[in-house]
Amino acid sequence: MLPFTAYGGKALPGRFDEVTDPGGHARPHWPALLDAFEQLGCEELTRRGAAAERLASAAGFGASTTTDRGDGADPTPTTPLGNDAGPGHHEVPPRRVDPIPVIFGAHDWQQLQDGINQRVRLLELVAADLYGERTLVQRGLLPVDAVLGSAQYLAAAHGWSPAGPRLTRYAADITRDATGQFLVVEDHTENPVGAGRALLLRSVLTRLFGVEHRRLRVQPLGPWFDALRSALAELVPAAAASPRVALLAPAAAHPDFAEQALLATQLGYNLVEAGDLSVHGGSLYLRAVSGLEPIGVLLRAVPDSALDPLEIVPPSAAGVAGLLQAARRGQLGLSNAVGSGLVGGTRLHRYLPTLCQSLLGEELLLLSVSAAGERATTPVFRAGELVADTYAMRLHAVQSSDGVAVLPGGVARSSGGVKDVWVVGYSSAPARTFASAAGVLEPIDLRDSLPCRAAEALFWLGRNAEHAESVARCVHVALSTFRADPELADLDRGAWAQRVISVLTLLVGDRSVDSAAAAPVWADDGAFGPDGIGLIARAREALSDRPDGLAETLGHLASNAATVREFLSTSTWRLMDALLSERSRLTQPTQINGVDLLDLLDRTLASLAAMAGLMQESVVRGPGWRFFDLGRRLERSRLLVTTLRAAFSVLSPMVVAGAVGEFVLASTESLVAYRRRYRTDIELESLIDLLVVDDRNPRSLAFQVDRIREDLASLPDRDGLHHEAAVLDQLAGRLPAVRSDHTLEATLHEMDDLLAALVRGVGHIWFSPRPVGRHVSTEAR
Amino acid sequence: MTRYQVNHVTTYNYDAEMAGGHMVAHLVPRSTPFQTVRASAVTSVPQPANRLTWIDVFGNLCTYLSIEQPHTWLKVGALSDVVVAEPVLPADIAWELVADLTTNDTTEQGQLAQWCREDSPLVSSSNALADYARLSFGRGDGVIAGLRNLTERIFADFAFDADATDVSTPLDMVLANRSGVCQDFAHLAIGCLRSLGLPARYVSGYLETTPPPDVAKLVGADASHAWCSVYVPGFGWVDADPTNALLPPNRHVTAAWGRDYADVAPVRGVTFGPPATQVLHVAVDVTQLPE
Repeated sequence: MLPFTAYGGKALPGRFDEVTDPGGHARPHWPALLDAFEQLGCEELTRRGAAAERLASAAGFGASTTTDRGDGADPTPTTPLGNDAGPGHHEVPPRRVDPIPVIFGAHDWQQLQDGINQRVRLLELVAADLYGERTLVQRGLLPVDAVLGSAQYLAAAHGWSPAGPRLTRYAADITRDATGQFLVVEDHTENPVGAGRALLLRSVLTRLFGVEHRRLRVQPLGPWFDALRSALAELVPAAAASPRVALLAPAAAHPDFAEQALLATQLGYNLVEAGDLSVHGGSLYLRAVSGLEPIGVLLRAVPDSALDPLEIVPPSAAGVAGLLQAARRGQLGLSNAVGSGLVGGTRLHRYLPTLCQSLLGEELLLLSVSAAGERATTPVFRAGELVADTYAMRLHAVQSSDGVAVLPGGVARSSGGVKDVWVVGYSSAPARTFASAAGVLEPIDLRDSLPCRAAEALFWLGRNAEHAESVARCVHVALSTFRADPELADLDRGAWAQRVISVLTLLVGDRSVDSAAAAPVWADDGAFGPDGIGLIARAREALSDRPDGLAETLGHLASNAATVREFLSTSTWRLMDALLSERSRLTQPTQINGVDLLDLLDRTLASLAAMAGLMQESVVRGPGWRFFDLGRRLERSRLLVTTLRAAFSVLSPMVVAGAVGEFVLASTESLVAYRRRYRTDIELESLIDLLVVDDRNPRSLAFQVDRIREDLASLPDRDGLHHEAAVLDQLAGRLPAVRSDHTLEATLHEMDDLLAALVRGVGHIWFSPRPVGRHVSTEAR
Repeated sequence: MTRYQVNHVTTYNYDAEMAGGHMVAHLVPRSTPFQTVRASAVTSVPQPANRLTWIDVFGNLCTYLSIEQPHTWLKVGALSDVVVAEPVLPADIAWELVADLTTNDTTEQGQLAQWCREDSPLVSSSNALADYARLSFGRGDGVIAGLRNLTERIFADFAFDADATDVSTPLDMVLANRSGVCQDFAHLAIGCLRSLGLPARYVSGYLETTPPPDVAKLVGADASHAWCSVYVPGFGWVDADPTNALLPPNRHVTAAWGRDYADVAPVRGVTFGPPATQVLHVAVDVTQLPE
C-alpha cells in the first residue's frame, strides 16, 4: 500500500502545499484522487508511470524543452523549467513523466482564469503603447532600458498596428506563494509554445488513468483548441488574398518540432517551414506541389529573429524576405505579432501593478514571484512513495474578440518530471463562447495542399523504406542460405558467393571492406573458405552506417518521417522507435553473433513491413501518399534492375545457376510465387518472366511501372510531366525484350538509365531546388 | 543655406539570372532641424512590382521595393533635392551633466538618446574605448569641447584605409590597427562616447567633395558617408565628423540615423536565384543647386 497518509507530514516548511493545509488536513478534491491512486497500488502505479514516459517519448514529448525566447539574450534565472537547457541547446534527454497530476477545483481555477484574463488584456495594451506613442515611458511608468533597451524590442514593429491583437496567444508559468496566492514566474508572449504538449500529455494520462480522470470529472482540453482556431480565423486581414492559416514551425531537428506537428494536425493547418514560403505582390505564399498557395494567417512557432531577414536587426539569414511587409500592408495576420516578446519574460514584472492601475484601473490579480525559488509544492511519485516537490505550471490562453479563454490544463514541471494539470469538478457540457460567426473560416480542403518540402520528404521516405527493406532482406537471405549450406560458398571456385557479393556491392555501393567487419560471425567461421569470409564481410558492410548501408538508411528514414510527422499515422512512431533501436544494434554488427543477427534482421523486416502496411492502410490517397508511393516504386524498380544485372550479367555455371536464381527470388520475395507457378527447378527465363514481365506480381518491374504511371497521373499536372510519361512508356516497351538472353544485359542497362531519368524528372518537376537567397547591402564607404 | 542635389545609384550585377528580390532602403534624406528635403524619389530598374514607404522608430524614411522579374543586373537610384543650413551649436555644458540629464529625459528624443547609450549590434562599450575617450573628456570638460577633441584625435591617430576593414570588422580591431574608413571612425567615436555613458548615434549621409581647383569633378566620385552625433539634453543632437575632423560638419547631407550602421544600411536586400557572384557598384553625386 502506498503511504499516502504519510504524505501530509512531508510538506516542506514555508511553502504552500497543494494537498495538505497548515493544519495537516487534506484540501478538497485531493482525497478522491489519492484514494483512487492508492487503490491502484504501488506496483501498478510504477508500471503506469513508466508506460506514460514511454508513450510520451514515442510521441516526441521528451525532446521539447526550450522556452520561447529566441535569442537567449535575457536568460531568466527564475525560470521554473528546472534543468532546462537554454535556447539553442537542443540535445536534451527525454523528460520524466510523473503520473500524479496537479489538480485544481473550481475556486482556484476561477482565480487563475480571472488573473490570466486580466494579464492578457494588460500586456496587450502595454505592447500597443510601446510600439506606438510610448506614453508609458514618457510618463515614467516604464524605464527606457526595459523598452527600447530590451533585447526583445523590435524596431521593425514600431509605428504600425497588426490586423488583430498582438497577443492572440499567451502563456504564463505559474506557482503559488506560501499563503496560496498564485504567482507568475514568467510571461510568454512572443511564441508561447507548449499547448500541443499539454494536449499530448493529457492523451497519455487519460489513456493510463481513464477511470480516475472520469471520476474526478476533469475538464476537457479540446474546446480550447477550437477557440484558438476561431481566434486565428479573426486574424485574416480584410485585404488578404486567402483565409488559409498555416503553422510556421522551426526546422525538423528543433525540439519544438514534434509538438508543432501535433498542433498542426489538431488544428488542421499545413505545417510549413520558412523555406516553403515566399512573398509575391505583397502577399505570402506557400510553395506547394500544385503551385503557389496564398496564406492569410501564420501561426508562428519561431522567434522574431526567424521571421524576416530584411528587417530584423541584428540581421539574420533565417525567415521569409518580405514577410513583415505583407503584415504591414495588411495582407497577413501573425500570431503572435512581431515584437510581442517585448512584454514577456520577467522584465516588466515590477512595473505591472502600477501599469495595471494606470491602464485598466484595476488591482493586479496575479503578482509575480518576488524571490528566486519561490514555489508551492505538490506530491510526486518517486521510488514507491509520495514526496513533496516544488512545481510551476505553464498555462495557455487565447485572445479574440470574444475575450480571453484559458486552456483548462497544462503541463506542470517539478524536479521529478512533468505533470499533467487537471481542472476537476467539471459539471456540464462546455459553454462554448467562441462560436461567433466572424470566427468561422470557409472550409478549405487541405487534402490536396502539399508543401514541396513535405512532398520531397515523403518521396524519400518511400525510397528509404524500400531501400532498407531490400538490403535487410538480401543480407538475411544471403546469410541464412550460406549458414544452411556453407559449402555453397566454395562451389565451383566460389561462383555463387561472388554473385551474391556482387549483388550486395551494387545495392550499397562498391567500397573497400573494413577489416574489422571481416571478423567472424559464427564461431565456426574460421572453417569457411575465403569466399565465405568475403561474403560475411560484405554482408556486414551492407548493414553498417556507411552510405546506403542499412543502418544509415534507417537513420535517413527516421529523419524523413520526423519532417512529415503530420502526414503519418501516430502508430508510425512506435515503429520508428523499434527501427531506431534495431539501427543502434546494427551499427555494431561485429558485436552480434550470426544467430542474433538474423533475428535482428527478422525484426527489422517486420517493422518495415508494418510501416508499409500503415502507409497502405492509414494514409489518405492524397498527393502526399502518392509521393511516398512513387518513391517506393521507383526505388524498388531500381533495386530490382540492379539485382538482376549483378546476378545474371555474367552467366553462372550450371551447377550454381539455380542457387543464384533462388537467392534472387528469395531476396525479392518472389520465391514462393515462383515455386507455386512453375513447380520446376529455377530457370532464368521463367524467373525473368515473373520478376520483370508479370504485371500481377507486386514485386515485378511491370507492376511498378503500372503503379508509377498511376501515381504520376494523380499528381497535380506540371509542365514536363509529358516527358516523364514518355520515359515511362519507353520503359514499359522494353519489358518484353528482357526475355531474350542475348539482350538481357543491354536491356537492363537501358532500363537503369530510364529509371534514373525518371527519378531526376520527379525531382526537377516538384522539388526543384529552393531559390537561393543572398543578402545584398551597400556599404557606407 | 546650401541647396544640394544628391544622386545615389547602386548597381548589382550577377553572372546568372536572378528570379527576383526584396529590399529595404534608407535612401530618402530625412528632415532635421538644419535640413529641409524639397523632393526625393527612389526608383529601381527593373521597376519595382511593389513599393511601401514608412517612418521608422528613429524618424527615418524607409522604402520597401520588391523586384518580381528575372534580371541579371539591378539598379536602385535615389535622387534628392535638399537644403542644408549651417548647424548651430549649443552652449557647452560639462559632459558628466549630459550623462546625468539624459537619464531623466523621457521626451521622444530623450528616450532615443537613452537607447543610444546602450550597446547596439555593431558598437559595444569597452574599457579600451573608455580609456581612449577619457583623454578627451577630462573632469568637468564641456561636452562639445570633448567631442571636438575626440574627433580631432581620431582624425590624427587613425589612417583612412579602405582595405584595412570591411563591414564586419569589430571595433577592437579598428582601435588596435588604427585604420579604417568613415563607418569605422563613426562607430569608434560612438563606442568611445557610450563607454563614458554619453548618448551617441550613427548618421548616414553624403558629403560634397571639392576637387583641386584645376581638376574637373568626376561624376559619381562622391561617396556615401557616415559620422556621429551626441545628444545634449534640452538642445538636441550635435553632429561631428571624425573622418574629416569637422565639428560642426558642413557640406554634409543627412540621409538617416540610428544606433549604428545596422539600423540604417542604405540598402538591405535578399535576391533569389541560382548561386551566382554579385558585383556591387555605388555611385554618388552631390552637386550644388542654385537656391
